[in-house]
Amino acid sequence: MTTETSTTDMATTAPVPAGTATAGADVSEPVERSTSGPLALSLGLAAVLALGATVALGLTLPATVEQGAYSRLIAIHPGVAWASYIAVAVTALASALWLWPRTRSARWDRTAGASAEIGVVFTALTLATGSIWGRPTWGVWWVWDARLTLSALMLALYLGYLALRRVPASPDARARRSAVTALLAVAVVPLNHFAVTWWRTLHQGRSLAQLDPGNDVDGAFIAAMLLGLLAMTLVYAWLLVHRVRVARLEDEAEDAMLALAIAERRREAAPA
Amino acid sequence: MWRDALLVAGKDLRIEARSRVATNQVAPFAVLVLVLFAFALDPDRGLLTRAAAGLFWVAVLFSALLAVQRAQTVESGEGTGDALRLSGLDPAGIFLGKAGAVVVQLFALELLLGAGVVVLYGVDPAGYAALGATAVAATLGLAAAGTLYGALATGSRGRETLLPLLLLPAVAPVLIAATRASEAALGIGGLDVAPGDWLALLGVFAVVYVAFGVVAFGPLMEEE
Amino acid sequence: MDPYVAAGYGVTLVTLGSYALRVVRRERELSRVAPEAPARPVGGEERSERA
Repeated sequence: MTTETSTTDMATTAPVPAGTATAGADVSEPVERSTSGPLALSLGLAAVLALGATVALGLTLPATVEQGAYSRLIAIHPGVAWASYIAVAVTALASALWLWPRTRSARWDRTAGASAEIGVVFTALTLATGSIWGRPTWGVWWVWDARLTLSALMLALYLGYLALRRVPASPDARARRSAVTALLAVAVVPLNHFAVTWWRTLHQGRSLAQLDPGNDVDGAFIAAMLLGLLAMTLVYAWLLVHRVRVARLEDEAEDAMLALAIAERRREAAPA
Repeated sequence: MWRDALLVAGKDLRIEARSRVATNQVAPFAVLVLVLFAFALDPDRGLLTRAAAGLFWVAVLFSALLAVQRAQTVESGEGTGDALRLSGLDPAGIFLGKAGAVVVQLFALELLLGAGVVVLYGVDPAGYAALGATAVAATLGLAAAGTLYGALATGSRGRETLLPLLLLPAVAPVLIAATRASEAALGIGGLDVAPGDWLALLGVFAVVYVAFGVVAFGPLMEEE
Repeated sequence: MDPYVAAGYGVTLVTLGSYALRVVRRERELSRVAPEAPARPVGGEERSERA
């Protein structure tokens, strides 16, 4: 699809020296070309600030009676898990937008893929931090807790999704396949949830529900956790902006490479 | 749609009956898995009997993987996939037909594996009605999910490794629910959750995947 | 500091940092290549990519 337009473009611009083409590109999309637009820059700054504040607040939390110093992980683990849920939701939404004919655009396909990749990073971190928290609390690295198991299943589902995206196919076919897979993955989340919760009914309740906001100590924990949620959300958003841009540049580079190859073949054919 | 489904299912089953891949390769493989579980676990301490339901469904899962892969391979050679696409059959019918053929094969396999579990693991069969309902719901879900993911992974190199990665985490609820429901029917294992809930979960899973397949199979087939 | 707490914060910050670095580096790399690509009209992308 895109190949066709860029091929005709290439046919007209091919004889022009490379410098002119560069200038033309700069004029047509000046902001898009630069690595960090104002949105990405301010997001990045906010993310770094929030993350710094989270770490500072999280590490100075008082040790609790039941958990000792380990409760300081409350600033990290819920935030990371939250960001992985957002990533999954964005992937599903973007996939649905691609499948809906009136909003179909390669942008949504890229957003879905980018968000899924970031989601895999956050899900892996959820498992890692959960495991690290679980070792001193429960005495083992892994318990078959319903939420941890659900996260592990999600990780496997989205690793499969990313593997499917890497399978070579026409952009349209790949986007359709990926969008269907992403929606399927989200559709089974409630089923997975019920299956693993009924299977394993031991859990330590939701971390927020246990706490009492009236208590000063608990208030600090809630603040640290909420700050962690905010920081991880900002980090996710910043990563998404950049990862989507990488995906777009990759698509463009692929088109350009193809156009260049076609132009070269033509140039070879012309003198003969 | 239903007529097309019957046509496709009949075609696939005829191919299986003539090529005998299912009887000569998939069925022996499934029984072999049961034997391997016995090697892995201690057969003397009743471990096998207690774990029988879970091992049975894991064996079914692996065999389903092979059956689905086989159902896709049938369409990949010598332009048969294109022929199916150009045949003018309703894509939803094609999906139901292919899934239906897998269902029939899996039922046969489950009977075989059930006999294997009784003979090899020393399970006392009981609660036939509950077992039957579990098997029907679980098999419908497995076949629908397998056919759908099989189509999603079609036409890709490395499909043999991609399909398990896509399918196995997706059917995890089927494994959990079918195992618990079968244990309840057989009267093994303490249970906190009513067997009816597990059956409902299996039913919902099957409905979700069949509905998804009926809607999505057409666009997925057109693509290449 | 408690080793588990340090590990939890460490693994999170290092993973996110290295992933961010990888993404940004790839973006730099590609945007250095991209200006040599043939110029396309700004609105053209959306139109042509609608399937």
